[in-house]
Amino acid sequence: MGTYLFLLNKLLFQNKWKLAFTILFPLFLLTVVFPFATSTVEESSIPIAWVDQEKEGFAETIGFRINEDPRIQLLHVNSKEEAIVAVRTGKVEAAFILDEQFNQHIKSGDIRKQMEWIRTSRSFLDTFVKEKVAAEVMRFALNSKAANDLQQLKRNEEDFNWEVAFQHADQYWEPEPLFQMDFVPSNSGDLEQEEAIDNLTIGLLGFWMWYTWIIFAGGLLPIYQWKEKGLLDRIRLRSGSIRAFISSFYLVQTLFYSLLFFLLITLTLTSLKVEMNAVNIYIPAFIGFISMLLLTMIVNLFIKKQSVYLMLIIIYSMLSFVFSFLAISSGFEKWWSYILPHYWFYQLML
Amino acid sequence: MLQFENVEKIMKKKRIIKNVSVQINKGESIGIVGPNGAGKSTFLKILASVLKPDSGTVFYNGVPYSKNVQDLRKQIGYIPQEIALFEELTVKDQIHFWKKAAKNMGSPTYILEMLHALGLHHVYHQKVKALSGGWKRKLNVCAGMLHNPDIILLDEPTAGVDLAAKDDLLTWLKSLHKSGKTIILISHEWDVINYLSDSIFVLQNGEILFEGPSEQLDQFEKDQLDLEENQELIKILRQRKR
Repeated sequence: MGTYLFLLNKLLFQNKWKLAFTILFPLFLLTVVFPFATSTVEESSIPIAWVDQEKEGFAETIGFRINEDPRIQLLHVNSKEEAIVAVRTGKVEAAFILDEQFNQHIKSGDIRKQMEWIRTSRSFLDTFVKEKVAAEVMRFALNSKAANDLQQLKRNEEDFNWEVAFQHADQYWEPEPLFQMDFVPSNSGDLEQEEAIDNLTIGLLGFWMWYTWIIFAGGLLPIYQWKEKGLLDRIRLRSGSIRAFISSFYLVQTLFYSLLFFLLITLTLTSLKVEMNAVNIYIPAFIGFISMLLLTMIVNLFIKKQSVYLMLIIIYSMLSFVFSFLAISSGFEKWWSYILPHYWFYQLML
Repeated sequence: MLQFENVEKIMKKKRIIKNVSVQINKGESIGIVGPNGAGKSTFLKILASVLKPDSGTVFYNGVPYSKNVQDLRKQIGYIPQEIALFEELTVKDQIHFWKKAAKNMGSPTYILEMLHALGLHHVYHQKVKALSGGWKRKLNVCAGMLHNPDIILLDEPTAGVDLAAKDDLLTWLKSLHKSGKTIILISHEWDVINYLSDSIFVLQNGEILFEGPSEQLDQFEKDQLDLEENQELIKILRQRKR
C-alpha cells in the first residue's frame, strides 16, 4: 500500500497548475468576490424582530416605547421560528422574544430570563437596542418591586393603591434614572442570548461543500482512464488485486479534499468573524462531508461509464446545494431533503 | 504448456470466442493474425488471465487457470495494445512503481539489460507524456516484463513505432525467444510476424481457422477460404507476400 500511496501522492501533485487552481480559486472567491456579494443591513434605523405573545400591559408598553426611537424599527412577528428566519435572512439585526407570562413576572419584580435575544455573529447594532430594552424592563420591574414592597409595609391601610405607588416609583427615572444600570457586555443576566448561524455563513459553507464535492468527483476520473488504458489490468496481473490500489487512491483523494474543505471552512468562519464551534460547525461538517465523499466513491465504483458518473454527480450535488439551502433558509422542506448531504450538514449544524 | 479447451467468450451478447481448443508448447513463438473484430485481443486477454472464459477451460501446465492463477501470472508478461502507463511519471518512477507493485521481480541485471536493449536509459529521467510514441511503446513492453516472465503475450507491440524503435524491440524479443521464452503476439505487420513467429494462428469470427507454419498458409488459403466470404481475411493473408 505504501508504494501506491507514494505513487498516488506523486500523481496528485504532478499537475502544479491544476493544484494551484484548486486551492487559489476558492481563496480568490473568499477574499475578492464574496466581500462584495455579502448583504448587510443598510437602513439607517435598526430593524429588530419583536415577539410579544401577550400584546398588553408592560410588554405592549415596552414595545411601544422602543418603537418610538427613530433609530429602531420594530417588526412584530408571531413566533420564535419566524423571528429566527428573519434573523438568518438578514431581514433584521436581531430578535427579542418576550416570555409568555412576561407581564406577571415583571409585576412581581422578576427580571431573570424574561426575554430571549436572538442574533447572529454578524449582528452589530442590536446591542444598542438590547441596552434600551433592558433599561425599559428594569424600569418596570423596579417600579413594581417598589410598589410591592410598599404594599407589604402598608398592608393594613385600606386606602393603599398599588398603581399610585408604581407611578411614584416611576418618577425616579425621569429625566434620568436615579441609578444607572451597569451592563456586562455579553449577557446581562436578564436577557438570554442565543447564537443563530446566518444565511450567508450557511450559504458559504454549503458552497464550499459543493465545490470540494465537484473537484473530488473530478479527481476520481483517472480511474476510468486507467481502466480504459489497461493500467488496472496490469496492476491486477502484477500484484494479484487492484483492491489496495483503489483503496489507496480513495484514501489520498479523501485526505487531500478533506483538508481543503476544512481549510476553506476555517477561512470563511474567520473572515465572517463567526465563532469556530466544533460541535455546531466542524462535527456536522465532517459528518456531511464524509457521507458525501462515500456516496461519490460508491457511484464511482459502480457506474461503469464516465459520462454517466459525471452527470449523476453534477446533478446530485447541485440539487443538494440549492434545495438544502432553500429548505433551511425558507422552510422549503420536503421528504426528499433527507437524501441530500448538504441537508444533513445543515440539520446537524443548526 | 498452455491449453484452451472448448473456450467461449461472450461480450455484449456477442460470441467473441467460439469453442476454441488449441495448445501452445513451451518455447514456441506464435503470431496471431486476422481481421479487425476477429477476437484476437480477447483470445490474448483470456490467455493472460485478464478475462475469464464463459465456458470451457484454460490450462497452464495441465492445471486449470482458476486453480493456479497467481502462479501463472508470475510467469506471464502481458503487454496490451494500449499504452498502460502513468503519463505524469518519469520513466524512472514508472519502472520503480511497477517493480514495487509486482510481487516477484526480475534480477537487477535483467532489468538493466532490458533498459539498455530498448534504449530506455537515454530517456530515464523524462516524463512519459513527453516521450514519442515509439519510446512509450518500448516502455510499455518493458513495464510488462520487469518480472522476467517465461510467457510473453504482446498485442500489437510495434503499432505506431518508428523503424529504429521497432528494430530495437524485435531484436530484443528475438533474443528472448532464443533464450527459451514462449512468445505469442498479435500484429498487423507481416514482417514482425515472419521475424518472430515459428507458427501462425489465423482467427476469424472467434474461431481459429488455421494453426501451423507460415509456409502452409498458401495451401490453407487455396483449400479452405472461399473468396466471396473471406475477402478481408484473404487480403490480410496476401499482404505477407509483398
